[in-house]
Amino acid sequence: MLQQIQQNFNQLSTLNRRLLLTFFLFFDSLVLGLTYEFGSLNFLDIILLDKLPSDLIWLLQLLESISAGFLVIKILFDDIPPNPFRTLAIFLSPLFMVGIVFLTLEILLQGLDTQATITLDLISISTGTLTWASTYLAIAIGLTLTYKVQRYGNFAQSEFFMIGMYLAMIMVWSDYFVPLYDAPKDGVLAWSLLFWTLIGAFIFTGIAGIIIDRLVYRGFREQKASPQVMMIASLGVALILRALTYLRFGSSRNMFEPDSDWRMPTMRWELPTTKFRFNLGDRTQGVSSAEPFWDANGNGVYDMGSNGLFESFTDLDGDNRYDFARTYNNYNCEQTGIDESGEPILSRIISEVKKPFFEMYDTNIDCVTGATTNYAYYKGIVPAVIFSSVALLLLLLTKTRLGRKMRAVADNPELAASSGINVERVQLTSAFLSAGISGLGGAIFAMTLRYNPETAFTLLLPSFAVIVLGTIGSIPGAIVASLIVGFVRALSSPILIGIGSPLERSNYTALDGVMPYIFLVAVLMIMPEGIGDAYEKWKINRLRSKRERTKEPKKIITFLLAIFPLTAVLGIHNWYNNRSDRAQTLASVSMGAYIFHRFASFIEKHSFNPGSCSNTCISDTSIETNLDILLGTDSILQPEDSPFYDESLGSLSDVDMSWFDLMQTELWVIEFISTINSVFWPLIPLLIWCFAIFQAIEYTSETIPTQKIRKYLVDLTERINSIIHGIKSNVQKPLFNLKERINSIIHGTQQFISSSDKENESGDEEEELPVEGPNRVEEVSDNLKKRIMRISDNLKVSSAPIFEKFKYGRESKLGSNITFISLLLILFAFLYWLPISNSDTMNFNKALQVSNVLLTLSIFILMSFSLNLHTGVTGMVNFGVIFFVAIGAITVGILTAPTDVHGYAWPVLPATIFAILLSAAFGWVLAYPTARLRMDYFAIVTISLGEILRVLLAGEPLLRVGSIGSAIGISRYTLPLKQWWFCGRGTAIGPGTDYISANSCRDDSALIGPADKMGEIFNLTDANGLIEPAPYMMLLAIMGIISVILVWWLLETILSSPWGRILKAIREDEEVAQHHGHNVLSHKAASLALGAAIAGLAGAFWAWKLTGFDPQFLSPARSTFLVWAAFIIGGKANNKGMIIGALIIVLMEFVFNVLVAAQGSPDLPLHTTADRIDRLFQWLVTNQWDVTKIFIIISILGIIIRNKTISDIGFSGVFVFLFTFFMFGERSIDESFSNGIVSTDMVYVKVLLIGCLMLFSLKLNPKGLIPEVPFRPNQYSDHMPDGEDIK
Amino acid sequence: MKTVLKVESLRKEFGGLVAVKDVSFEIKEGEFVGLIGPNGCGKSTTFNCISGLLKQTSGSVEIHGKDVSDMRPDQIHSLGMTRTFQHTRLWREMTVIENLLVPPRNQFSPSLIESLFKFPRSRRAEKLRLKDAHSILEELEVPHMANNLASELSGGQSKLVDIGRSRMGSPNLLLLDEPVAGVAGPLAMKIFNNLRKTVDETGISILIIEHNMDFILRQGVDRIIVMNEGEVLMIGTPEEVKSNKAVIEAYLGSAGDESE
Repeated sequence: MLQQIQQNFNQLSTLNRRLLLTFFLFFDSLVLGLTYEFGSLNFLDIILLDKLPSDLIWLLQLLESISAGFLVIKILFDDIPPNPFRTLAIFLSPLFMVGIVFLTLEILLQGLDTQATITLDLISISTGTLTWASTYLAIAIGLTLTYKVQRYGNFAQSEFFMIGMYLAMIMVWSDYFVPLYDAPKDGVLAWSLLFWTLIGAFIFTGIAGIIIDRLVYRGFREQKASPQVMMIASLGVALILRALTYLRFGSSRNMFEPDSDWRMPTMRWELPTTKFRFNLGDRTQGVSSAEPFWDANGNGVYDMGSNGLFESFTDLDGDNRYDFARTYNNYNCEQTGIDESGEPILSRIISEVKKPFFEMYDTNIDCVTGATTNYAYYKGIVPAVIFSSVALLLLLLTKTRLGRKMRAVADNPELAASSGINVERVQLTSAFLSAGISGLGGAIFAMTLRYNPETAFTLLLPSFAVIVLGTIGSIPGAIVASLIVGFVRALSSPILIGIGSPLERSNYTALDGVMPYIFLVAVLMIMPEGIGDAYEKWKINRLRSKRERTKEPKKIITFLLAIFPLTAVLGIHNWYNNRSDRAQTLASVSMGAYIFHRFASFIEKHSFNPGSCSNTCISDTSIETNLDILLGTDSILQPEDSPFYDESLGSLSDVDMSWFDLMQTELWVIEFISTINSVFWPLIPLLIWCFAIFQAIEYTSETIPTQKIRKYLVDLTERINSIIHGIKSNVQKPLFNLKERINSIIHGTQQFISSSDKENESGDEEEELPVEGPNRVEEVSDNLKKRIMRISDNLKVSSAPIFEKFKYGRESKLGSNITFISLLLILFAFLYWLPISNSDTMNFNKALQVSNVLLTLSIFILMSFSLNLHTGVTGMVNFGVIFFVAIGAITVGILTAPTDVHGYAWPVLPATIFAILLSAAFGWVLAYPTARLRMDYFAIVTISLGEILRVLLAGEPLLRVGSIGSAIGISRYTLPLKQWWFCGRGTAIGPGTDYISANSCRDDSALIGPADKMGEIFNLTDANGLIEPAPYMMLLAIMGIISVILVWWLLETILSSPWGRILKAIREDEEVAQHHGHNVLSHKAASLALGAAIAGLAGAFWAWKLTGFDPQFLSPARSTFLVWAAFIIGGKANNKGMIIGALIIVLMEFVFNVLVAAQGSPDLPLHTTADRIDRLFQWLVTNQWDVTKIFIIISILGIIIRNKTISDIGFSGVFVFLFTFFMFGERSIDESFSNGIVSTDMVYVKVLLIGCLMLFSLKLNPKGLIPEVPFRPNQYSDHMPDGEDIK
Repeated sequence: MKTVLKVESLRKEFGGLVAVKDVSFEIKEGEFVGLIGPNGCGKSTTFNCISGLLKQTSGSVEIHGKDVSDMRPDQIHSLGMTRTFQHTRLWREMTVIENLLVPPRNQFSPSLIESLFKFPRSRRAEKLRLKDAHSILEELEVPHMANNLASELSGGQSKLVDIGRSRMGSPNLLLLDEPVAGVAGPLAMKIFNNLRKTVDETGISILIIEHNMDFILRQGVDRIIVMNEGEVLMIGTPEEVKSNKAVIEAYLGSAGDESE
């Protein structure tokens, strides 16, 4: 019977199948599950003997219902043929989703007998949307440009944003602007610092973009590296940039305040708003209709309900009364009492015993909530600046030649180059623009919150969500998508706050940061092609239908539209005439003029513009204009007006003078803006109107007066061109001469340098010498090459068969093994050498150290194995290794923790197996929704999953056990075999006997366990010379090594079987693999599951090593990126490479841990090294001019030997250090380093090194230290015996 | 003779563009059929619809009497259909021999576990596969390239390996998309002869797209399907095609004059 049902189900169309599934999900979750507690999940719980926590069940049912909602939208997108209703439905789908969420919450809360109030403030949601949208957009536009022109996802884009933030900080710290920043609050905003900061941030971040492009990406472009390699390189760049920022600025939180007035409480718009209130769940609770109880003292007491939303006040009779949650169903106010200050309390009391589900009220008619929503100026300026600069950028790209060139390069670089476009220059321009606009965004965003170098990274993933939703590469798409993603974030925050405490999940408010990620994953499932694509299709369709439409536009209507000012200025007559490009231009120019006018008027009002009067000025009757605050009584601006002027001194100090200078600049800037404003407005709209009338005449009368004008214009431009040409040629000539002269100087220098070598030869020197420099280098390397060739030739002759085996070098089996073993030996020798402080307990410490390294190593090796299986072998770029690791760690932790801290007290082994299986299941399931995604989308999804889990760990009570921090995190779980390790098998532990803890066993010398024996073997003595039991870490290390070996064997075996081949075929070209009969999806799922299982095991070990962990251990910078570094350095698709890579990373980690310890104390080993690093760093920070000189020498050297790389490095260094020389004053050192003492944070030196290692490895050794060994069997012959020959 | 492939009023639209307009044809067991037509007439799109790469707008494709419209490419492959792509797509970072070892059916025979952990039985099966692969390479005259990475091959060699790879899946219906473009004349001739021989000996069916008229008309193709602007112009033997005015006008034009 079941079979028949299945058969019938399969025969249905996709649409019907999906509809049935959706219906089932809704019915199961909402009706059966949440209402009657008899859904499939409850059924599962019954099977599992009621072991599942009920929280988990309803959370999953919540998820089930919401996914069903998404499925409905997916059906809408995929299975419904296009028609107007579908389009309408798609536009309404966000509302539908909000509705589904509310409905599900309503049913859930009713089931839980509790209630929640969600208040949506329309204006604060809109302003929040704008702020977040613009923030995301600043990064997303940069990402889009990089994707468009250079075709890779730039994970360092958020670091440009970060550079912008810190540039703003530098501007404040630099000595030029200090007086303004420190100026006392006078109620008037100072603009010049902000103005210069924005320009500076754009230009300098742009230059940083160019420097990075030249130093890093250009090399990869020249190598024709794949987008995947570029993406990983950008990860390295991101690590480096972040580490440098941490090193220079520390991790303290800063904020950009161009003037203290910006943050005055009066500096905001008070916006009248409308609020919606939703009362979900049990609406009878908290309604104050019940009569009070009278307690023993005769006071009225109400049953407050569980949520306790009440306020006390004295009613008209003088009694204490409680006003419970304010719920009203009509707008009649009545005085119900007076509050503590004696003001009357107006309420709308209802006689119903239930609150309404939905209420709407606004400031004008509500008698209780008299609040308006405020929007601070410093927040409002973020969207204003970012959206207008994005608009300018869009104009630049669509209306200028540069934009066309960029599109040409984006389309096909080779073709563009052959048609005369300087591709390199276009690449540099795009690098400049994409970095610059992110930097600009960062600088302005720095005003809104306190930030540290990590802040920008949290914005990167939502920005990826923006570009994915908006179709990668489409700027209009990104703009619309940023608004949608911003809206999701702004809307999720009040919902999460509303449901947080009733569901006992008060930390859920932190989830609003990851809502964009969750949304991103949903978007990728529903419409991976994005909005921009849909827009393009719509545009094409519109063009097609327009061509078919033959109706002539009526002349009279055109005329009327052009005469009427409003329609004329917006270019509507052109739209009517099917000239939409013209209409767009007109509309955007006039709207732009209007927007500029509004900005400028705002700036004028809140500045020292003559005659303007801001809020403070209005409230203060003693002054008439803002300028009066400055001028004092004499009405002349002079240095004595400075707020720093100390009259008792009687003389002017430096700070007064610089304040005076700045004020003059400020006044000049303001005047400039105000002048432009008066030119723009209303002159431009008037001109456009005139133009429109002119057009109307042109359209309506057949004669064309414009042609005359056009002719005149052409003449004019020609004349101007000829003038420009003249000027150009006049200027170019000397420039050209200068170039020649410089060249001849260089030429001369080269001659000089090479002639000093060969003084004797003087014959035909002049012809040869210019190229002598590089030639010599080549000669030497040629000689070297020849010598090596000769040696290898000798080898060939003497031992031909061995050479045959070495034919493929490291890519042959033997070569690979030899490289592996030698590298392993070198690294282990290094590990053995690792110094340790000399003391009596040296052996013990050494054992602990080595075990710790080995355990960390095993964890990293397991993680690299997992990554290698996913990325190296199967080709799925997995940036979320930590996701699977975390599932393993969390599951093991929760299951084995004792029940008194909400654990489950499972034995360790079953818990570990369960954790591994659960990880594997997650891996398996992940394959299905992500199957059709592009490589970089998969990367984004996996990294998002890791972040979602990290935030959930902080906010979800189900994921907490033990006593870490404020109960966030997991601790107090059982460690495997710890008891046995210290107590041995002899002790009876169990019911009826005294519980002997492992720790007490260790201290009890009578109990001999394996630990004691190991202690004897390794001679671990304590301070008194007595043998100490070996540390528990040693056992874990042994277990770790054993599992590494087992997993390694398993992977080697499986990957050399036919399945390994199939996975590789999928990596190379999955479409072809599918056409050759392999179910790509199930193979990918299996690969994901196996890799995830390995990562889960690594997670279990990690949990045991940490003995307790908080969400921070999940941050990708501490795990995923390190594993990626190991993967890159080691060599993809080779497990031996993974071992070497992991070993290098772990050793580095360890050396730097030792260095951190050694930094302060001279007794510790490596102190001299730490000291040297410290001194180098101090030198770099404090003696910028000396550093600059060195870089000048390097760049000259680079020019002389004509090595682009060296001269690029030189110039970049000169630029960076000159910049710091001018901009970094004493103050920046005081602010960044405590007590003004410059010291190195070794942790970030490590990150810096790892980033560099990644880049160098990608650049110089792209296949890694131990590259993949392709399958090369011996040639098959019929005489070959059955045996080991074929492997 | 049984019908292996049956295409009935197949139609494929891309947005507003109709690439394939109601194409119908049949291929019988043991038939060697050519598919010709000018550039952009929908030959490759037809292939893509048959192999499951694209989903047709309407119409049906049946292989061995089974409707394959809703099947994935690998499911269609399991019915015995294998195809090549116009632009050769080998698995580039794998050796040639490895490329040939991926397609064979029943990779996991006798059982999944046995083949994953290489029990003796599965090792023997693997050896047989290797032997087959080597003999195919020998036949295609590229045995010396067996241990090279596919990315190191020249264009012509890649084409050869691609043909070899498609034969490793032991298909009973082979769809070849310009298999000998860029292959030197004599070798191309030999490949055609081999294909003919394979058809005669094993009874598989081959549908081949080829631009070189000389080959298609003289090298023993049973029937020719001529497509033009997304429609089937005619179906017939090489002689019939040669003498058909419409075909000569639409397609052969100059090529026809040359061969006369």
